Amino acid sequence: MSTLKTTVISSSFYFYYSLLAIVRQAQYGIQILVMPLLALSVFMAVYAATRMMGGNVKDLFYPFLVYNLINFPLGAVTQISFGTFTNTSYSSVLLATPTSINTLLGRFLGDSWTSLIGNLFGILVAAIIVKPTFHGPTGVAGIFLLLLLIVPSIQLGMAIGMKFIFAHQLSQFILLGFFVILVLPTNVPWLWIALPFTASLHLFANASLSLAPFLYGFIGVILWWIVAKAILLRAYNHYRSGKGVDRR
Amino acid sequence: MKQYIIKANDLQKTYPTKPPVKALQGFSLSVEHGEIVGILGPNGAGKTTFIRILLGILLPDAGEITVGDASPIASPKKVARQIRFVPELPFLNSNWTLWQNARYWFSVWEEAWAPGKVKDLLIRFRLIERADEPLSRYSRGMQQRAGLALALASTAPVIIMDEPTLGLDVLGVQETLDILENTKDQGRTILFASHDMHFVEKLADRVALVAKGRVLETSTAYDFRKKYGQEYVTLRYKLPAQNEIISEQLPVDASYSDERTWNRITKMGGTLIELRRDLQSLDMVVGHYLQQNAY
Repeated sequence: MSTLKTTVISSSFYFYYSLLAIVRQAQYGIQILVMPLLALSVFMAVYAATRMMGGNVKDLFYPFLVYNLINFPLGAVTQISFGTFTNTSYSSVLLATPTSINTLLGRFLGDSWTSLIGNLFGILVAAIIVKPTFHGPTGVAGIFLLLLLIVPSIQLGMAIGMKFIFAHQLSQFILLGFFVILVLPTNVPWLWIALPFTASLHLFANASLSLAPFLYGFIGVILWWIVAKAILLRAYNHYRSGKGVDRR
Repeated sequence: MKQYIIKANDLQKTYPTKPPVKALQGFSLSVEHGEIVGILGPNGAGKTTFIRILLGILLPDAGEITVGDASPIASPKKVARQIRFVPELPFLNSNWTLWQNARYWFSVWEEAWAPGKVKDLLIRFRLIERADEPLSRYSRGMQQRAGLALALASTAPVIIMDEPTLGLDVLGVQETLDILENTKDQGRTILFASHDMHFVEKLADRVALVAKGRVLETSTAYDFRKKYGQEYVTLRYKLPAQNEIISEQLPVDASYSDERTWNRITKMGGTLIELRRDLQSLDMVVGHYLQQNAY
Protein backbone atom coordinates (compact mmCIF):
# COMPACT_ATOMS: atom_id res chain seq x y z
CA MET A 1 0.00 0.00 0.00
CA SER A 2 1.37 3.43 -0.81
CA THR A 3 2.36 5.80 1.95
CA LEU A 4 -0.06 8.46 0.70
CA LYS A 5 -2.97 6.00 0.65
CA THR A 6 -2.22 4.77 4.18
CA THR A 7 -1.83 8.32 5.46
CA VAL A 8 -5.11 9.43 3.90
CA ILE A 9 -7.04 6.36 5.16
CA SER A 10 -5.64 6.45 8.69
CA SER A 11 -6.09 10.22 8.88
CA SER A 12 -9.71 9.87 7.78
CA PHE A 13 -10.36 7.28 10.49
CA TYR A 14 -8.64 9.52 13.01
CA PHE A 15 -10.72 12.55 12.03
CA TYR A 16 -14.00 10.61 11.90
CA TYR A 17 -13.53 8.88 15.26
CA SER A 18 -12.36 12.11 16.90
CA LEU A 19 -15.47 13.83 15.57
CA LEU A 20 -17.66 11.02 16.96
CA ALA A 21 -15.90 11.42 20.30
CA ILE A 22 -16.63 15.16 20.29
CA VAL A 23 -20.30 14.51 19.47
CA ARG A 24 -20.45 11.95 22.28
CA GLN A 25 -18.82 14.38 24.70
CA ALA A 26 -21.37 17.02 23.62
CA GLN A 27 -23.93 14.95 25.51
CA TYR A 28 -22.44 16.44 28.65
CA GLY A 29 -23.90 19.84 27.73
CA ILE A 30 -22.69 23.20 26.52
CA GLN A 31 -19.06 22.41 27.32
CA ILE A 32 -18.68 21.69 23.59
CA LEU A 33 -18.95 25.45 22.98
CA VAL A 34 -15.74 26.02 24.93
CA MET A 35 -13.70 24.59 22.04
CA PRO A 36 -13.55 27.73 19.86
CA LEU A 37 -13.36 30.13 22.81
CA LEU A 38 -9.57 30.36 22.84
CA ALA A 39 -9.34 31.74 19.31
CA LEU A 40 -12.55 33.71 19.64
CA SER A 41 -11.36 35.45 22.82
CA VAL A 42 -8.27 36.72 20.94
CA PHE A 43 -10.59 37.97 18.18
CA MET A 44 -12.96 39.65 20.62
CA ALA A 45 -10.09 41.49 22.33
CA VAL A 46 -8.91 42.90 18.99
CA TYR A 47 -12.50 43.64 17.95
CA ALA A 48 -13.10 45.65 21.14
CA ALA A 49 -9.81 47.54 20.74
CA THR A 50 -10.56 48.34 17.07
CA ARG A 51 -14.01 49.70 17.92
CA MET A 52 -12.63 51.82 20.75
CA MET A 53 -10.07 53.29 18.34
CA GLY A 54 -12.76 53.92 15.72
CA GLY A 55 -11.23 51.45 13.25
CA ASN A 56 -12.99 49.34 10.62
CA VAL A 57 -14.00 46.07 12.28
CA LYS A 58 -14.76 44.51 8.88
CA ASP A 59 -11.00 44.41 8.24
CA LEU A 60 -10.60 41.97 11.12
CA PHE A 61 -12.49 39.03 9.66
CA TYR A 62 -10.16 37.73 6.94
CA PRO A 63 -7.01 37.96 9.10
CA PHE A 64 -8.98 35.96 11.68
CA LEU A 65 -9.88 33.38 9.02
CA VAL A 66 -6.20 33.14 8.04
CA TYR A 67 -5.27 32.83 11.69
CA ASN A 68 -7.59 29.86 12.10
CA LEU A 69 -6.61 28.11 8.88
CA ILE A 70 -2.84 28.55 9.09
CA ASN A 71 -1.62 29.59 12.48
CA PHE A 72 -3.88 27.29 14.43
CA PRO A 73 -2.70 24.07 12.71
CA LEU A 74 0.85 25.30 13.20
CA GLY A 75 0.48 26.31 16.87
CA ALA A 76 -1.79 23.48 17.99
CA VAL A 77 0.27 20.84 16.15
CA THR A 78 3.50 22.23 17.64
CA GLN A 79 2.00 21.68 21.07
CA ILE A 80 0.61 18.22 20.29
CA SER A 81 3.84 17.19 18.56
CA PHE A 82 5.92 18.30 21.55
CA GLY A 83 3.67 16.32 23.89
CA THR A 84 3.90 13.26 21.62
CA PHE A 85 7.66 13.28 21.12
CA THR A 86 8.54 13.92 24.76
CA ASN A 87 6.49 10.80 25.61
CA THR A 88 8.83 8.28 23.99
CA SER A 89 6.61 5.25 24.44
CA TYR A 90 3.71 6.97 22.71
CA SER A 91 5.79 8.36 19.86
CA SER A 92 7.61 5.02 19.46
CA VAL A 93 4.42 3.06 18.92
CA LEU A 94 3.33 5.50 16.21
CA LEU A 95 6.73 5.71 14.54
CA ALA A 96 7.20 1.93 14.55
CA THR A 97 4.63 1.60 11.77
CA PRO A 98 5.19 1.04 8.04
CA THR A 99 4.42 4.67 7.20
CA SER A 100 6.35 5.93 10.24
CA ILE A 101 6.50 9.74 10.28
CA ASN A 102 3.52 9.91 7.91
CA THR A 103 1.41 8.07 10.50
CA LEU A 104 1.98 11.03 12.77
CA LEU A 105 1.37 13.47 9.92
CA GLY A 106 -2.00 11.79 9.31
CA ARG A 107 -2.76 11.91 13.00
CA PHE A 108 -1.94 15.62 13.29
CA LEU A 109 -3.90 16.30 10.12
CA GLY A 110 -6.87 14.62 11.83
CA ASP A 111 -6.27 16.73 14.93
CA SER A 112 -6.11 19.90 12.85
CA TRP A 113 -9.35 19.17 11.03
CA THR A 114 -11.02 18.41 14.34
CA SER A 115 -9.82 21.68 15.84
CA LEU A 116 -10.82 23.53 12.68
CA ILE A 117 -14.34 22.12 12.95
CA GLY A 118 -14.40 23.49 16.48
CA ASN A 119 -13.05 26.83 15.28
CA LEU A 120 -15.69 26.98 12.61
CA PHE A 121 -18.08 28.09 15.36
CA GLY A 122 -15.66 30.89 16.20
CA ILE A 123 -15.34 31.93 12.54
CA LEU A 124 -19.15 31.94 12.20
CA VAL A 125 -19.53 34.07 15.33
CA ALA A 126 -16.88 36.49 14.01
CA ALA A 127 -18.67 36.64 10.62
CA ILE A 128 -22.00 37.39 12.29
CA ILE A 129 -20.44 40.18 14.37
CA VAL A 130 -18.48 41.99 11.63
CA LYS A 131 -20.51 41.00 8.52
CA PRO A 132 -17.52 40.86 6.12
CA THR A 133 -17.78 41.48 2.39
CA PHE A 134 -17.14 38.35 0.31
CA HIS A 135 -16.08 38.66 -3.31
CA GLY A 136 -16.86 35.37 -5.07
CA PRO A 137 -13.90 34.41 -7.32
CA THR A 138 -11.18 36.19 -5.34
CA GLY A 139 -12.54 34.85 -2.07
CA VAL A 140 -12.51 31.27 -3.38
CA ALA A 141 -8.96 31.71 -4.74
CA GLY A 142 -7.82 33.06 -1.34
CA ILE A 143 -9.39 30.17 0.57
CA PHE A 144 -7.89 27.68 -1.92
CA LEU A 145 -4.39 28.97 -1.13
CA LEU A 146 -5.07 28.83 2.61
CA LEU A 147 -6.29 25.22 2.44
CA LEU A 148 -3.15 24.24 0.53
CA LEU A 149 -1.05 25.77 3.30
CA ILE A 150 -2.51 23.50 6.01
CA VAL A 151 -0.25 20.51 5.26
CA PRO A 152 3.07 22.44 5.34
CA SER A 153 1.87 24.24 8.50
CA ILE A 154 1.33 20.87 10.15
CA GLN A 155 4.72 19.61 8.94
CA LEU A 156 6.42 22.68 10.40
CA GLY A 157 4.55 22.28 13.67
CA MET A 158 5.59 18.61 13.82
CA ALA A 159 9.22 19.50 13.18
CA ILE A 160 9.27 22.22 15.85
CA GLY A 161 7.56 19.91 18.35
CA MET A 162 10.01 17.05 17.83
CA LYS A 163 13.17 19.16 17.74
CA PHE A 164 12.98 22.13 20.12
CA ILE A 165 12.75 21.75 23.86
CA PHE A 166 11.05 25.16 24.10
CA ALA A 167 8.37 24.11 21.57
CA HIS A 168 5.61 24.36 24.17
CA GLN A 169 6.36 28.03 24.85
CA LEU A 170 6.75 28.65 21.12
CA SER A 171 3.32 27.18 20.44
CA GLN A 172 1.78 29.64 22.89
CA PHE A 173 3.56 32.46 21.08
CA ILE A 174 2.26 31.19 17.74
CA LEU A 175 -1.28 31.32 19.15
CA LEU A 176 -0.84 35.09 19.33
CA GLY A 177 -0.07 35.15 15.59
CA PHE A 178 -3.35 36.97 14.91
CA PHE A 179 -1.65 40.25 15.82
CA VAL A 180 1.21 39.57 13.38
CA ILE A 181 -1.23 38.76 10.57
CA LEU A 182 -3.07 42.03 11.22
CA VAL A 183 0.00 44.21 10.74
CA LEU A 184 1.63 42.44 7.78
CA PRO A 185 1.44 44.29 4.42
CA THR A 186 -0.72 42.51 1.86
CA ASN A 187 0.48 44.13 -1.36
CA VAL A 188 4.16 43.12 -1.46
CA PRO A 189 4.82 40.52 -4.22
CA TRP A 190 7.86 38.89 -2.59
CA LEU A 191 5.87 38.52 0.64
CA TRP A 192 3.11 36.75 -1.32
CA ILE A 193 5.74 34.09 -2.06
CA ALA A 194 7.41 34.07 1.38
CA LEU A 195 4.10 34.10 3.31
CA PRO A 196 1.39 33.02 0.85
CA PHE A 197 -1.42 33.90 3.24
CA THR A 198 -0.63 37.59 2.53
CA ALA A 199 -1.60 36.84 -1.09
CA SER A 200 -4.86 35.37 0.22
CA LEU A 201 -5.50 38.52 2.27
CA HIS A 202 -4.85 40.62 -0.84
CA LEU A 203 -7.32 38.50 -2.82
CA PHE A 204 -9.98 38.74 -0.09
CA ALA A 205 -9.71 42.55 -0.12
CA ASN A 206 -10.21 42.91 -3.88
CA ALA A 207 -13.37 42.41 -5.87
CA SER A 208 -11.69 41.86 -9.25
CA LEU A 209 -9.62 38.72 -9.72
CA SER A 210 -6.01 39.60 -10.39
CA LEU A 211 -3.78 36.74 -11.51
CA ALA A 212 -0.50 38.02 -10.02
CA PRO A 213 -1.23 37.59 -6.28
CA PHE A 214 -2.77 34.17 -6.91
CA LEU A 215 0.20 32.94 -8.96
CA TYR A 216 2.79 34.38 -6.56
CA GLY A 217 0.87 32.89 -3.65
CA PHE A 218 0.64 29.53 -5.43
CA ILE A 219 4.40 29.50 -6.05
CA GLY A 220 4.87 30.31 -2.36
CA VAL A 221 2.59 27.40 -1.39
CA ILE A 222 4.59 24.97 -3.57
CA LEU A 223 7.84 26.24 -2.04
CA TRP A 224 6.44 25.81 1.47
CA TRP A 225 5.40 22.21 0.64
CA ILE A 226 9.01 21.49 -0.36
CA VAL A 227 10.67 23.46 2.45
CA ALA A 228 8.37 22.19 5.22
CA LYS A 229 8.85 18.57 4.11
CA ALA A 230 12.64 19.05 4.07
CA ILE A 231 12.57 20.65 7.53
CA LEU A 232 10.41 17.81 8.85
CA LEU A 233 12.73 15.11 7.47
CA ARG A 234 15.76 16.90 8.89
CA ALA A 235 14.08 17.21 12.29
CA TYR A 236 13.20 13.48 12.17
CA ASN A 237 16.80 12.56 11.33
CA HIS A 238 17.91 14.61 14.33
CA TYR A 239 15.30 12.85 16.45
CA ARG A 240 16.54 9.43 15.29
CA SER A 241 20.08 10.42 16.21
CA GLY A 242 18.94 11.19 19.75
CA LYS A 243 18.94 14.97 19.31
CA GLY A 244 15.19 15.44 19.66
CA VAL A 245 13.04 16.75 22.50
CA ASP A 246 13.27 13.39 24.27
CA ARG A 247 17.02 13.67 24.93
CA ARG A 248 17.99 12.94 28.50
CA MET B 1 20.94 -24.87 12.39
CA LYS B 2 19.45 -22.02 14.42
CA GLN B 3 17.43 -19.47 12.50
CA TYR B 4 17.61 -16.03 14.05
CA ILE B 5 14.94 -13.44 13.37
CA ILE B 6 16.63 -10.72 15.46
CA LYS B 7 20.38 -10.28 15.37
CA ALA B 8 22.13 -7.38 17.12
CA ASN B 9 25.89 -7.24 17.12
CA ASP B 10 28.10 -4.85 19.09
CA LEU B 11 25.65 -1.95 19.15
CA GLN B 12 26.99 1.33 20.47
CA LYS B 13 24.89 4.36 21.33
CA THR B 14 25.85 7.52 23.15
CA TYR B 15 23.22 10.22 23.67
CA PRO B 16 24.61 13.60 22.64
CA THR B 17 23.81 15.25 25.96
CA LYS B 18 26.11 17.28 28.17
CA PRO B 19 27.80 15.23 29.53
CA PRO B 20 27.19 12.44 26.94
CA VAL B 21 25.38 9.33 28.19
CA LYS B 22 26.69 5.97 27.01
CA ALA B 23 23.48 3.98 26.67
CA LEU B 24 24.78 0.96 24.72
CA GLN B 25 28.36 -0.28 24.86
CA GLY B 26 28.69 -3.39 22.73
CA PHE B 27 25.13 -4.70 23.03
CA SER B 28 24.78 -8.08 21.27
CA LEU B 29 21.71 -10.30 21.30
CA SER B 30 20.20 -12.88 18.95
CA VAL B 31 16.64 -14.18 19.08
CA GLU B 32 15.49 -17.31 17.27
CA HIS B 33 12.27 -17.66 15.30
CA GLY B 34 9.40 -18.44 17.69
CA GLU B 35 11.48 -17.78 20.78
CA ILE B 36 10.32 -15.73 23.77
CA VAL B 37 13.16 -13.71 25.25
CA GLY B 38 12.91 -11.53 28.36
CA ILE B 39 15.39 -8.70 28.88
CA LEU B 40 16.23 -8.06 32.52
CA GLY B 41 18.30 -5.30 33.99
CA PRO B 42 18.37 -2.27 36.26
CA ASN B 43 17.00 1.13 35.24
CA GLY B 44 19.28 2.83 32.71
CA ALA B 45 20.80 -0.49 31.61
CA GLY B 46 19.98 0.20 27.94
CA LYS B 47 16.86 -1.96 27.51
CA THR B 48 14.63 0.79 26.10
CA THR B 49 17.44 2.21 23.95
CA PHE B 50 17.93 -1.24 22.41
CA ILE B 51 14.19 -1.60 21.79
CA ARG B 52 14.04 1.83 20.11
CA ILE B 53 16.99 0.92 17.87
CA LEU B 54 15.30 -2.38 17.06
CA LEU B 55 12.14 -0.49 16.07
CA GLY B 56 14.14 1.79 13.76
CA ILE B 57 13.30 4.91 15.75
CA LEU B 58 16.79 5.50 17.07
CA LEU B 59 20.05 5.16 15.15
CA PRO B 60 23.03 3.43 16.77
CA ASP B 61 26.48 5.04 16.54
CA ALA B 62 28.01 1.69 15.52
CA GLY B 63 27.14 -1.99 15.27
CA GLU B 64 24.77 -4.07 13.21
CA ILE B 65 21.18 -5.08 13.69
CA THR B 66 18.70 -7.01 11.54
CA VAL B 67 15.12 -8.15 11.86
CA GLY B 68 14.55 -10.97 9.37
CA ASP B 69 16.47 -9.80 6.33
CA ALA B 70 15.96 -6.08 6.94
CA SER B 71 17.95 -3.55 8.91
CA PRO B 72 16.00 -1.11 11.09
CA ILE B 73 18.78 1.42 10.39
CA ALA B 74 18.48 1.35 6.60
CA SER B 75 14.93 -0.01 6.09
CA PRO B 76 12.81 0.90 9.13
CA LYS B 77 9.59 0.60 7.11
CA LYS B 78 10.37 -3.00 6.13
CA VAL B 79 11.09 -3.82 9.78
CA ALA B 80 7.90 -2.08 10.90
CA ARG B 81 5.84 -4.53 8.84
CA GLN B 82 7.27 -7.41 10.86
CA ILE B 83 7.04 -5.92 14.34
CA ARG B 84 4.25 -4.82 16.67
CA PHE B 85 5.33 -2.77 19.64
CA VAL B 86 3.44 -2.55 22.93
CA PRO B 87 4.90 0.21 25.12
CA GLU B 88 4.77 0.34 28.91
CA LEU B 89 2.02 2.98 28.91
CA PRO B 90 -1.44 2.59 27.35
CA PHE B 91 -1.12 3.92 23.80
CA LEU B 92 -4.67 3.67 22.48
CA ASN B 93 -6.86 6.76 22.06
CA SER B 94 -8.88 7.03 25.26
CA ASN B 95 -11.66 9.05 23.58
CA TRP B 96 -12.41 6.23 21.15
CA THR B 97 -13.99 2.83 21.65
CA LEU B 98 -11.87 -0.28 21.47
CA TRP B 99 -13.37 -1.19 18.09
CA GLN B 100 -12.54 2.26 16.71
CA ASN B 101 -8.99 1.96 18.01
CA ALA B 102 -8.67 -1.48 16.43
CA ARG B 103 -9.88 -0.21 13.04
CA TYR B 104 -7.50 2.77 13.16
CA TRP B 105 -4.45 0.70 14.13
CA PHE B 106 -5.08 -1.91 11.46
CA SER B 107 -5.11 0.89 8.86
CA VAL B 108 -1.87 2.33 10.28
CA TRP B 109 -0.26 -1.12 10.28
CA GLU B 110 -1.42 -1.59 6.66
CA GLU B 111 -3.11 -4.85 7.59
CA ALA B 112 -6.35 -6.23 6.18
CA TRP B 113 -9.15 -5.53 8.66
CA ALA B 114 -9.83 -8.75 10.60
CA PRO B 115 -12.78 -8.12 12.95
CA GLY B 116 -13.21 -11.85 13.65
CA LYS B 117 -9.66 -12.22 14.89
CA VAL B 118 -9.91 -9.03 16.95
CA LYS B 119 -13.15 -10.28 18.48
CA ASP B 120 -11.54 -13.60 19.46
CA LEU B 121 -8.70 -11.79 21.21
CA LEU B 122 -11.08 -9.40 22.97
CA ILE B 123 -13.05 -12.39 24.25
CA ARG B 124 -9.88 -14.02 25.54
CA PHE B 125 -8.80 -10.78 27.21
CA ARG B 126 -12.32 -10.38 28.71
CA LEU B 127 -12.74 -7.02 26.98
CA ILE B 128 -15.47 -7.81 24.46
CA GLU B 129 -18.37 -6.72 26.65
CA ARG B 130 -16.95 -3.21 26.95
CA ALA B 131 -15.48 -2.94 23.46
CA ASP B 132 -18.07 -0.32 22.45
CA GLU B 133 -17.21 1.99 25.34
CA PRO B 134 -14.58 4.75 25.12
CA LEU B 135 -11.31 3.65 26.70
CA SER B 136 -11.42 6.57 29.14
CA ARG B 137 -13.86 4.42 31.14
CA TYR B 138 -11.37 1.54 31.32
CA SER B 139 -8.95 1.00 34.16
CA ARG B 140 -5.26 1.45 33.35
CA GLY B 141 -4.76 -2.31 33.39
CA MET B 142 -7.64 -2.81 30.94
CA GLN B 143 -6.19 -0.20 28.59
CA GLN B 144 -2.84 -1.97 28.71
CA ARG B 145 -4.47 -5.33 27.96
CA ALA B 146 -6.42 -3.76 25.11
CA GLY B 147 -3.19 -2.58 23.47
CA LEU B 148 -1.67 -6.03 23.81
CA ALA B 149 -4.80 -7.68 22.41
CA LEU B 150 -4.63 -5.54 19.25
CA ALA B 151 -0.92 -6.28 18.79
CA LEU B 152 -1.64 -10.00 19.06
CA ALA B 153 -4.56 -9.71 16.63
CA SER B 154 -2.15 -8.49 13.97
CA THR B 155 -0.26 -10.90 11.74
CA ALA B 156 3.22 -9.51 12.46
CA PRO B 157 5.65 -12.31 13.37
CA VAL B 158 7.45 -10.34 16.09
CA ILE B 159 5.96 -8.70 19.19
CA ILE B 160 8.11 -6.31 21.22
CA MET B 161 6.87 -5.35 24.67
CA ASP B 162 8.29 -2.85 27.14
CA GLU B 163 7.17 -3.60 30.71
CA PRO B 164 4.00 -5.48 29.72
CA THR B 165 2.82 -5.98 33.31
CA LEU B 166 3.25 -2.39 34.49
CA GLY B 167 0.01 -1.31 36.17
CA LEU B 168 -1.66 -4.71 35.91
CA ASP B 169 -3.21 -6.36 38.96
CA VAL B 170 -2.46 -9.98 39.90
CA LEU B 171 -5.33 -11.28 37.78
CA GLY B 172 -4.34 -9.10 34.83
CA VAL B 173 -0.75 -10.38 34.99
CA GLN B 174 -1.96 -13.98 35.10
CA GLU B 175 -4.34 -13.47 32.16
CA THR B 176 -1.61 -11.81 30.11
CA LEU B 177 0.73 -14.65 30.98
CA ASP B 178 -1.82 -17.29 29.96
CA ILE B 179 -2.52 -15.63 26.62
CA LEU B 180 1.13 -15.05 25.77
CA GLU B 181 2.00 -18.63 26.71
CA ASN B 182 -0.67 -19.77 24.27
CA THR B 183 0.96 -17.79 21.48
CA LYS B 184 4.03 -20.02 21.81
CA ASP B 185 2.27 -22.57 19.62
CA GLN B 186 1.73 -19.97 16.89
CA GLY B 187 5.46 -19.57 16.34
CA ARG B 188 5.37 -15.88 17.17
CA THR B 189 8.64 -14.34 18.36
CA ILE B 190 8.31 -12.23 21.50
CA LEU B 191 10.97 -9.98 22.96
CA PHE B 192 10.13 -8.07 26.10
CA ALA B 193 11.79 -6.00 28.81
CA SER B 194 10.45 -6.36 32.32
CA HIS B 195 11.24 -5.88 35.99
CA ASP B 196 8.61 -8.50 36.93
CA MET B 197 10.83 -11.54 37.54
CA HIS B 198 7.93 -13.91 38.13
CA PHE B 199 6.47 -12.94 34.77
CA VAL B 200 9.86 -13.26 33.06
CA GLU B 201 10.52 -16.66 34.59
CA LYS B 202 7.11 -18.00 33.67
CA LEU B 203 7.04 -16.70 30.09
CA ALA B 204 10.56 -16.43 28.72
CA ASP B 205 12.33 -19.34 27.01
CA ARG B 206 15.51 -17.40 27.60
CA VAL B 207 16.50 -14.35 29.64
CA ALA B 208 19.10 -11.76 28.73
CA LEU B 209 20.63 -9.94 31.67
CA VAL B 210 21.57 -6.41 30.67
CA ALA B 211 23.63 -3.83 32.55
CA LYS B 212 25.68 -0.80 31.57
CA GLY B 213 24.63 -1.03 27.95
CA ARG B 214 25.54 -4.64 27.18
CA VAL B 215 24.21 -8.15 27.56
CA LEU B 216 26.04 -9.90 30.41
CA GLU B 217 24.41 -13.33 30.24
CA THR B 218 21.80 -15.16 28.23
CA SER B 219 20.36 -18.46 29.40
CA THR B 220 17.13 -19.99 30.62
CA ALA B 221 15.89 -18.53 33.89
CA TYR B 222 16.44 -21.90 35.59
CA ASP B 223 20.04 -22.21 34.36
CA PHE B 224 20.74 -18.68 35.52
CA ARG B 225 19.38 -19.45 38.99
CA LYS B 226 21.34 -22.68 39.09
CA LYS B 227 24.58 -21.05 37.96
CA TYR B 228 24.53 -17.98 40.17
CA GLY B 229 21.90 -18.62 42.82
CA GLN B 230 22.43 -20.36 46.10
CA GLU B 231 20.59 -23.56 46.95
CA TYR B 232 18.63 -23.49 50.16
CA VAL B 233 16.47 -25.83 52.23
CA THR B 234 13.00 -25.01 53.43
CA LEU B 235 12.39 -26.81 56.69
CA ARG B 236 9.05 -27.15 58.50
CA TYR B 237 8.76 -29.05 61.77
CA LYS B 238 6.76 -29.25 64.98
CA LEU B 239 8.12 -29.48 68.56
CA PRO B 240 6.19 -31.50 71.20
CA ALA B 241 5.70 -28.59 73.59
CA GLN B 242 4.49 -26.20 70.92
CA ASN B 243 1.40 -26.26 68.76
CA GLU B 244 2.85 -23.99 66.07
CA ILE B 245 4.70 -25.22 62.99
CA ILE B 246 8.23 -23.83 62.85
CA SER B 247 9.65 -22.78 59.46
CA GLU B 248 13.31 -22.26 58.66
CA GLN B 249 15.30 -21.54 55.54
CA LEU B 250 18.87 -22.81 55.59
CA PRO B 251 21.56 -22.15 52.98
CA VAL B 252 23.01 -25.28 51.43
CA ASP B 253 26.72 -24.71 51.96
CA ALA B 254 29.69 -26.96 52.77
CA SER B 255 28.59 -27.37 56.38
CA TYR B 256 25.03 -28.42 55.55
CA SER B 257 23.71 -31.96 55.37
CA ASP B 258 20.15 -33.33 55.44
CA GLU B 259 21.22 -35.94 57.98
CA ARG B 260 22.53 -33.38 60.48
CA THR B 261 19.34 -31.35 60.13
CA TRP B 262 17.26 -34.47 60.67
CA ASN B 263 19.28 -35.38 63.79
CA ARG B 264 18.92 -31.86 65.21
CA ILE B 265 15.12 -32.01 65.00
CA THR B 266 14.96 -35.54 66.36
CA LYS B 267 17.13 -34.62 69.36
CA MET B 268 14.62 -31.87 70.22
CA GLY B 269 11.86 -34.49 69.96
CA GLY B 270 10.38 -32.71 66.98
CA THR B 271 8.41 -34.06 64.04
CA LEU B 272 9.64 -33.16 60.54
CA ILE B 273 6.83 -31.99 58.26
CA GLU B 274 8.77 -30.81 55.22
CA LEU B 275 12.35 -30.68 54.02
CA ARG B 276 12.57 -29.22 50.52
CA ARG B 277 15.59 -28.13 48.54
CA ASP B 278 15.18 -25.21 46.19
CA LEU B 279 17.10 -22.54 44.30
CA GLN B 280 16.96 -18.84 45.15
CA SER B 281 14.31 -16.93 43.24
CA LEU B 282 15.30 -15.14 40.03
CA ASP B 283 14.94 -11.65 41.53
CA MET B 284 17.31 -12.55 44.38
CA VAL B 285 19.83 -14.11 42.02
CA VAL B 286 19.73 -11.16 39.62
CA GLY B 287 20.00 -8.70 42.52
CA HIS B 288 23.01 -10.51 44.01
CA TYR B 289 24.66 -10.89 40.63
CA LEU B 290 24.38 -7.18 39.86
CA GLN B 291 25.56 -6.19 43.36
CA GLN B 292 28.55 -8.52 43.28
CA ASN B 293 29.58 -7.34 39.85
CA ALA B 294 29.11 -3.67 40.86
CA TYR B 295 26.46 -2.86 38.26
